[in-house]
Amino acid sequence: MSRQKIHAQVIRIGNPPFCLKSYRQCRGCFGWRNMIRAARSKAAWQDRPIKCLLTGLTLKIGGIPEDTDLITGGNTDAIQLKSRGFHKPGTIEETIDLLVKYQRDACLIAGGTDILPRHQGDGNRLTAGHLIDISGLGLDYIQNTDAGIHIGAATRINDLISSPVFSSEPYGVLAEAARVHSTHTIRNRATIGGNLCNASPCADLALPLLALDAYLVILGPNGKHLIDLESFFQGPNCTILEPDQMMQEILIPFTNHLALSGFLKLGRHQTKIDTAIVNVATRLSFKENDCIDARIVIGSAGPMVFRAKKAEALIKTGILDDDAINLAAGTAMQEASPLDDIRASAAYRKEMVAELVKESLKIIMKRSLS
Amino acid sequence: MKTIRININGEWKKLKVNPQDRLIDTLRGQLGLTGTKEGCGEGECGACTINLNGKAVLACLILSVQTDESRILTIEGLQKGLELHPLQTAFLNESAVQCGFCTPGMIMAAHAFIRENPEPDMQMVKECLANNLCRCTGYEKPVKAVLAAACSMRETNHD
Ligand SMILES: Cc1cc2nc3c(=O)[nH]c(=O)nc-3n(C[C@H](O)[C@H](O)[C@H](O)COP(=O)(O)OP(=O)(O)OC[C@H]3O[C@@H](n4cnc5c(N)ncnc54)[C@H](O)[C@@H]3O)c2cc1C
Ligand code: FES
Ligand code: FES
Repeated sequence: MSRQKIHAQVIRIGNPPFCLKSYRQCRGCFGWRNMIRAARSKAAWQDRPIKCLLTGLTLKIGGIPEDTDLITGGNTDAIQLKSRGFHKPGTIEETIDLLVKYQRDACLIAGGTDILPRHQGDGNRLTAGHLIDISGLGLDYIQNTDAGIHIGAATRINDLISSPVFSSEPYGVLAEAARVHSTHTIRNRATIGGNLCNASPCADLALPLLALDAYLVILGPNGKHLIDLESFFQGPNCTILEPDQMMQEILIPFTNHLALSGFLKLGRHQTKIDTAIVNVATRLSFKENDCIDARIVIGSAGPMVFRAKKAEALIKTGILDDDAINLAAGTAMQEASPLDDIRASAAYRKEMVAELVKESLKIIMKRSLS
Repeated sequence: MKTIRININGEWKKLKVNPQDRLIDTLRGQLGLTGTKEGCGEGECGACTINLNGKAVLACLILSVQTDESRILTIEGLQKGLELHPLQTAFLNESAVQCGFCTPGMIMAAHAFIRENPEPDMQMVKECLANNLCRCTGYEKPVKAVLAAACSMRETNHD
């Protein structure tokens, strides 16, 4: 194996990237090392920002030959940061002012269930100097308007489960996913906005929201704007948000079509306290008896949660029968580009993408017949 | 340092905490409430479960500064004088305790849960304890204990 320096673009430096100096110290659970490896061999992973959650180091890697060993170039002697400040603003304006002031040294905290486990008992490992708590901004609400359903970014995941809005179709798929997100105890703190902004490729709530064509309301120094959820995700743990921007709410557009949907999550059987090996959300909309739209969303099998659009097209245009379902499942599998990590191998994940797509479409087919 | 005011087991207290202190550090270190345990510090084991404003949460995944003006209940706050809480009694009666490291967390998870769901069934109790790992007894006895406690709390109108 030849050793060569790769041209990685260092986008952000956090704490000392000791895991880069020695692979043995990399906590494989965050999968960063495997992601970097994938960026050299899998098209779907190339040219995306890839962020190490422990150190905050973010790299963008182009097409790097597979037979080279990875040593990063550039300046990776990062600054040791300590949490120097905790802020709990009472208004959105104050929050944006703080973000503008501290830029990359700021970190929003909602439920903290993604940020805080990384400390492992050591607050000094915090990669941001200034934590900004958004729990005082009144961003926990679920409201129905003509435009659709507005969900405040800081809404706790347990509140989605208990809300009547998501107890049935056409929006029920969100609560279905929320029920299998972590555990009751974690969901008392974890928020929907945190789940999306953390941008994990296995984030459970990202799937139903993509299936529901959700939009996000983003706030920043230049005001408010709307963005579709699909363009929000840029890479594993990376979003389109600038350091001085935040998410205010999620908007699920109003629909009066009949819809049938399903969410399936394959986890390790020993415990419920885990993210998915593969997760899949499917949603079909009907006008009279015709399927007018299909969503097949796949998680934990690529750099981001994504829509398997080729498989969607097959389902949308044809009759929903066993043959169509098998074809769509095989196509979805081709669209996936998973990694090996501590939870499962890439090969197993691919098979499971097909199985889960098949199973959830079959459930929908059965429901549509009755 | 930041000053916070919290109600801890019924008593309001003012404390000075570092911005990076987690609630578990403040409870065990500063307040000497060592009934709440730290197993993993990562949200996986549930040994640190306490009640924050009536909800079961993990004290290792909350910063103390975030709890300003909140009500916190730990395992030490359950017993009234010499009288044990029905959950404590049930865990003893069912022998749901071996080393006991996971027990405070399980009891606090169940405490908040029973208040929201006074008549839980077995499946609901399993959901409620899903974030609490036990490496000694297994889960059958704790689940039985929680069901028994819920029953006795209904009968005696205990909270
Ligand atoms: C034991 C355990 C089990 C878990 N199981 C699951 C699981 O099964 N499925 C799953 O999907 N996840 C799981 N998670 C991950 C985590 O709980 C979720 O991603 C959760 O929804 C994050 O929400 P939070 O409010 O706690 O995020 P936080 O940790 O507060 O924030 C996460 C990120 O989002 C940013 N952020 C938060 N709010 C905003 C905002 N309004 N605008 C801009 N940025 C924002 C923060 O700066 C941070 O970078 C688990 C975590 C633990 C500890
Ligand atoms: S110490 Fe908090 S969950 Fe393990
Ligand atoms: S009794 Fe020992 S861990 Fe549960």
